[in-house]
Parts: sequence; C-alpha cells; structure tokens
Amino acid sequence: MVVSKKYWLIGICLVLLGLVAGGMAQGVNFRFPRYIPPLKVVGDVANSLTLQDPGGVGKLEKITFQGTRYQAVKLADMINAAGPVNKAEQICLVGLDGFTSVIRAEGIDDCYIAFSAKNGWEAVNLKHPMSSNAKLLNEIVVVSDGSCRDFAFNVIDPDSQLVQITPGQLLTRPLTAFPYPEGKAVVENDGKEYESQVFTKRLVFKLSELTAVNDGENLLVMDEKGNYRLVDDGGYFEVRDNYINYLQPDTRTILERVKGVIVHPPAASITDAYYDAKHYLESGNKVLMVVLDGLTYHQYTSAVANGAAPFLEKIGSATRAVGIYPLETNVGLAAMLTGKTAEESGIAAAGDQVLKVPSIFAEAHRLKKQALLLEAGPKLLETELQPVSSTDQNGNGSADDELFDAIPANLDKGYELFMVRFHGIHDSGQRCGESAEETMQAISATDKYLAEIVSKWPGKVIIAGNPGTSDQLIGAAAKFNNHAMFVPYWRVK
Amino acid sequence: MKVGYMKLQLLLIILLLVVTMTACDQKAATPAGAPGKWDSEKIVVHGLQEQDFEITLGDLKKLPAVTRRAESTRANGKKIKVDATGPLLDTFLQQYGKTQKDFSCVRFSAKDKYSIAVPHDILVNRPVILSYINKGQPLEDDAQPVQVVIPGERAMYWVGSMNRMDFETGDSRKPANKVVFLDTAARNLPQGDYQYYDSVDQAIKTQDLIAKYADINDPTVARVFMKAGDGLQKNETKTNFLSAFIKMTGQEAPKFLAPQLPQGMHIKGLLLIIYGRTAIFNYAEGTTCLPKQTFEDKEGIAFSQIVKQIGLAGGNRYKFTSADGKSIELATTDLGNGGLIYQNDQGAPAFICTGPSGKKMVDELLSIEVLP
Repeated sequence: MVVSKKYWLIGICLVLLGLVAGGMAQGVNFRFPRYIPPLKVVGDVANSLTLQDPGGVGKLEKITFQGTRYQAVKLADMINAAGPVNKAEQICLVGLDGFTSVIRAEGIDDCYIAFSAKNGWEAVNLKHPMSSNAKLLNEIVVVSDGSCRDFAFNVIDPDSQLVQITPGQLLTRPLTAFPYPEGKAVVENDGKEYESQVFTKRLVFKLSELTAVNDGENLLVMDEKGNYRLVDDGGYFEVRDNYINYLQPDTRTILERVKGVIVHPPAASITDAYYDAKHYLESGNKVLMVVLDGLTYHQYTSAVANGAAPFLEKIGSATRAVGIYPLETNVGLAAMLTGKTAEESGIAAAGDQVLKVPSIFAEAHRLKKQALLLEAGPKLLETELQPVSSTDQNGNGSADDELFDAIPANLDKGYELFMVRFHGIHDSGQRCGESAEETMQAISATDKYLAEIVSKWPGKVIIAGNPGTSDQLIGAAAKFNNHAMFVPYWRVK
Repeated sequence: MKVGYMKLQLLLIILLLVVTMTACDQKAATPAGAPGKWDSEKIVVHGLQEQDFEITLGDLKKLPAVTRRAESTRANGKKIKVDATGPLLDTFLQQYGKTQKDFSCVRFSAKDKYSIAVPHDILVNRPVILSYINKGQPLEDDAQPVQVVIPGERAMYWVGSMNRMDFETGDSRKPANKVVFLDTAARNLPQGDYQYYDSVDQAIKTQDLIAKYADINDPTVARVFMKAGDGLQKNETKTNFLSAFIKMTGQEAPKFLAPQLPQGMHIKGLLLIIYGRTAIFNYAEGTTCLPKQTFEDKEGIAFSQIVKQIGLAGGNRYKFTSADGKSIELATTDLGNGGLIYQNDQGAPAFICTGPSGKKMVDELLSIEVLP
C-alpha cells in the first residue's frame, strides 16, 4: 500500500514536470513561431495536395546524403498520396525562384523531400545528378503521358479532335502570369482613406496558343458540371492545380473545371427540340418528338454510309447539333424537354430526376394541348407528365420493340404532343461499342420503327439523337470528343 | 460481476449525459424574418432617392429571403463557407423600381469604416445577398446587422456589419442618355428576308442599327443588355450581338436572333437594348407590358415610364427628334403633364405633352436625347 502511494506521488510529480516542460515549450513556440511554407503537388493528379507538415504524407525516414542527415519523406509516397492520373511520366520540382528540375517518374525510389529551416522544402535525390536537388521548393508538378483523355482539357471542332492536353502538360509550357483584378477596398482611418487594389495572379494561356483560332471566333466552353458559355477568344484559360478554368476579366465570367472547348460550334443544339416543339404547338401544329438515346452524329453518318438507316437517309441530311455535357441520358433528355443546359434544368448528373424549370409538357398544358410520353426503359425524369414506360417483356435485350407495339393504339387518340423515346441504340452502344455490328443493327431496327411511325403522323416531326454512349463511358468519365459530343437532329414535314 | 455491471451503468449514464448536453447545445435554426435584438439597427441608403434615407434590419427582414451556400477566400488564403439567408439586393431594389444592373457600382460600408465598391460587372453577373442569418443562426455580434455575401467573389466583397449602401450610376459605366425608338428606326434601315420556320419574315442587322443610331466603336461596351417584354433579361457579348438580327415581322417579333446562335440565346418580344449610352426601345412591345396612360383621346406610355425602364440619365432638357430629322428641345418644366408616347395613325410612335408653353407634338418619333 505504501509502495503504491509512493508511485502515485512519483506519477503526480512527473505529470507536473510534464506540464511545466510543455508550458515552456509553448512559450518558446509563442516567441519563435515556426512557419512552414506550403508545398503543392499539382498537375495530373486526382487530388492536388498542399503540404505544410513534413510528416503530412508518408513516413519520415532518416537518410544521409553527402554527410548531411535528413528526416525526409519519399517523393513516391507524396505522388501516390495525390493519386497520379494515368501513367506519370515526369516530375517537375519547382523552386520559389522558378528553378525547376525535371526527373523521370520511373526510378524515384531514392528520391526524398525534406524540410529544413535553412533550405525550406528540399529535394534530396540520392542517385540523380546534384542539379535535381532543388531547394526552396514550392511546387511538385506531376506530368502524365497524356493518354488519359477523360482527365485532359480537350479542344474539338465538329470534325476532329484538335487538342488534348493535361493540366500537368500545360504547367510545363510557357504560361502568362495574369493579374486578375479582384477589386478595390477602402478603409477610413483618422479622416483619411486608405485604398487597396487587389489582384490575384493567375497562370493563363489563350486558346490560340494551342490551336488556330480566328479573331472574334465563337467558342463553346463546357465545364464538367454541364455549364457552358458561348464566348469569343477574348478570354483566358487558367491552369489551376489540377484543372482548367475559363476567365473573362471584362465580364467576370468564370467557368470552373473546364472539360472542353468546341471551336466553330454548330448553332444547332439538342435544346432546339424544346423551342421547335413549342413553336409548332403555338402555330397550331401537332408535334411528334422522337428521342433516340445513344445515337451520335458519327454513328448516324456511319449507318447511312453502310445502308443501315434507309429511312433516316430518305428524310434528308440531319443537322449536326451540339449535345450536352455530362454525357448522361437523363441530362440530354432534360435539355431537350426544357431547352436549358444542365446548369439551368437542374439535371446535371446520372441520379438527378427533378427538373428546376418547366418542360415542354407544361407548355403543352398551357396551350391546352394533350400530350403523351412513351418510353422504353425506366423513367428518367420527373416532369409535369407521367410517362408510359415499356419493358423488355420478350427478353430480347431491348424494350424498343414493346414500345413500338404500343404506339399505334395511341396515335389516333388526339394527342397534339406525342413523344417517344427509344433506348436500344444506347444499350447496344454500351454493351458492344458505338461502331459494333450489334449497334448498327439496333440503329437499323430503330430506323424501321421510325419509318412506320412518321408515315402515320399527321403533323410536324422532330427527331433527335440523345448523346450518352461512347466506348462504354458515360457521365463525367465520358470522353469529350467530336464523336460523342454531336448528335443528328431533324425537323421533318 | 456486480461491480462490472455498475461500471457499465455508470458509463451509460455518462454517455447519456454527454449526448443530452450535446443535443442541448444544438441551437434551433432561426427562421428568415424572425425578430431579433438588432432589428432596429440602421443602414443608410444613398443614391436611390433624392435624399439619403435609413432602413433598419427589421425592414430587410420583411422582404422575401433566399438561402444560398457560398464559399470565398480571404486575403490570407483561408476559405470561409456560409449558408447565407437574407433578401437579395435586387429584391430590396425592386421596391424602388431598380435592379442591380442599373448601377455602375454599389459601395458597401461597414461600421469599422471599411468599404468596397462592387463594380458593374459583378452587379450584372452575381446575386448579392443582404444576409442576416448564417447556417440557420443570427450573425455574430461583430457582423450585425447585415453581412453582404456575393457568391463567387472574394471575401473582400463580403462586407460584415454593413451600415451604408451607396448606389452610384456614374464612373465608368454611364447611364443611357439617348433612347431610339426601334419601331421608327427599323423603317430607315435595310430589311432583308429571314427564313423563320415556314415563313419568310423581315429582319434588320443589329450592326446596321447600332452603326446608324449609337456609337458602335464605344470602347466601354463589352456586353449588350437586352430585355424582353416578358421580363427576360440577358447580356450578350458585343461580338455576338453585332453579328445578329432583329426580326421585325411575323411570329414573336421583334425577335433578337441569328442563325449561328443557339435558339436558347434568341430573345422574343424584345423591349429594350442598351448599347453603351444608347438605349433602343420598342414602343409596340412596351404597350404589351407597361402601364398605359391616356392623354386627351390618346392612349400610350408615359414618358416617365420609359425613362424609368431605361434608367435614362437625369437632365433638365430633352431633345425630341422625328424620323424626318426635325427636332424640338423641351425643358422638364415644358413637359407639364409629363408627356405621352403613343402610336400615330401610321403605326409609328409619336410624342405629345402640354406644358406652360402650350401643346407640343413630335410625330414619327425617332429618338429622345438628354441634353447637358
């Protein structure tokens, strides 16, 4: 019992000692606060990192190089923590003064990053030339081999892919440090006004530095959330950590995380379906709207060239219309039903169902016109109208045939807005690929359905492809390319 | 075993206490408009009326409120996130027949004498929230009575403890000082066929309109403001605007459109265009959406109503010009009853007023200019 008391006393003394020592340490810290400048890991990484703690990522190892001992973290651990996108090819170690050493991404097992009061963040590469051991680092740029198109900044025109470049690759190119005006603040002290004009320095480039763009030419800039702006070449593209922004200082237009740019964009868009249908309804016409999920302009031209779509060939050349990003079926459908982009319609991702704006069905209701929506597959959107869905009852892998069978019974029921959505081309494209024989067969089957329905419809007809498939990728992962981004569009009769 | 059970019971009681205390600590969310101790705090408003006037936080709480989530960056790089609740600046301005876009800048000042001028380009592109609730709770005392929140802009614009708003119409963006009537102007411009669905309508080029009636080379013009009779407002880039047409006949006329612009950018029932210091106003569309007034046997739109719609610069004298180039100059005192714009027998806009110097009329009215 006495021994126990003794230990208690010793314990209490140790705690008190600890408190005193801790307090002193705090005091020292208070008098000599330690600032660790940020070190960023940017470029072709899934998550850019900002480190202000040497042990923040990876395990600190004790290493000795040329007689100096360091506590350092492996460069490979840092890069892995940021999640390199695709295959990292180069690592750029960038110092505060702009000194940059570039090393190959493979063979960095003996590369470390240390922090010291004297040299700040410092590269300690045991086997590389001395010149790679940059000091006062402020940025590590990961540069991939550029093969990851989903991550890249893409510039396309209706016929071709013009540029595919990643943020990491852009950060290794000459960029302009642009002082973006943020504003001017004023504070009054002792009757005198003190002003502060604020700018933020942005690393920017003009699109014309990457590809030929004529002065004043229209560009359609789209971000990964489906916002888009039709702009001219007066704006700048900013490389920010691991993504690209569009900036227009004159109008303070900012579009964050740009996915791609369409040069010479066609005026037609899938949103035209709404405006055309509305115009026809207001003009007293009956309207048949046919939505072909998954049919791209590229597929349409291939199908016509292969003789797989005789009806679509007969009704005349399709207009090439711009689709909506992200490439999701519900996002495209919402654009056609509302005339709005994802930003305005409220349908910007696969799971979104509730429209933020009225659809063409509300317009039909306002005009006292009866409307019907027949669709193959599950209901995608909550609209003012309850759709009638067909299911694959015969198990042939598509509900399009069941949908087609349901159409004749409804054609003469007095509907003035009759909408049909086929889904078979989308399913086939997802399953087999956009150019596969099976997908061409699905287009051919749909073509026959269209020939039947259109011949029986007594009014105007709108037919539109709804983008959504390309190499089995959909949504934000889908490729922003000239195949996936354009769809065929017809106004018939 | 019994001791173990008691320990478990004690642990459960402690846990219960902790949970209860945590729950008690959660404050109930304050609904928008709920009264509070800062409701009598005053905010000075300058530039909206002839004289400065004061409003209180309580007055702002009577307006419809919105809640917006926003994030901004301070000068030190620190991110701040808010769920700001309060009326939009536009909702406040609506009471005075104004919108954010009418001002070249709005300066918000704080109790600590910090102030910042929010420029026109931000006013055109961003909502401004006069927030009095953050994340469901009243603002901290040092941010009372109002925290300005502008989503998408840096924290330097988010003025806390705001106690003064100065609405300015001068500086770089000057208000329009001339209004041209589209109805008359279009008759003096080349009109071409425009295929519109199944019909062929007549259209003028915006470039021709601006080149003839406004300063097409005005370097301050980056965007062109347009408003439709149904209330739709849009800003278009100068390049897009000048490459388009205005369809003057047929369905939905007057309609701003162009074959190279997506249909979503077309504007039907065009009421107003503001290009630099020149406003283009369509009288016929105005009759469908603006209050009408009768003078003698004529029904039309009060001149003051058009001045209000356009935000025409204030002045003591106006020059009224007809399509044939003849003009009269009238002082505000000559306007007497204020003046009326009406449609003459030929379908063109005309002006009439009766003042101390008698009745004045301008037939086939082309423009009204504010004289210095």
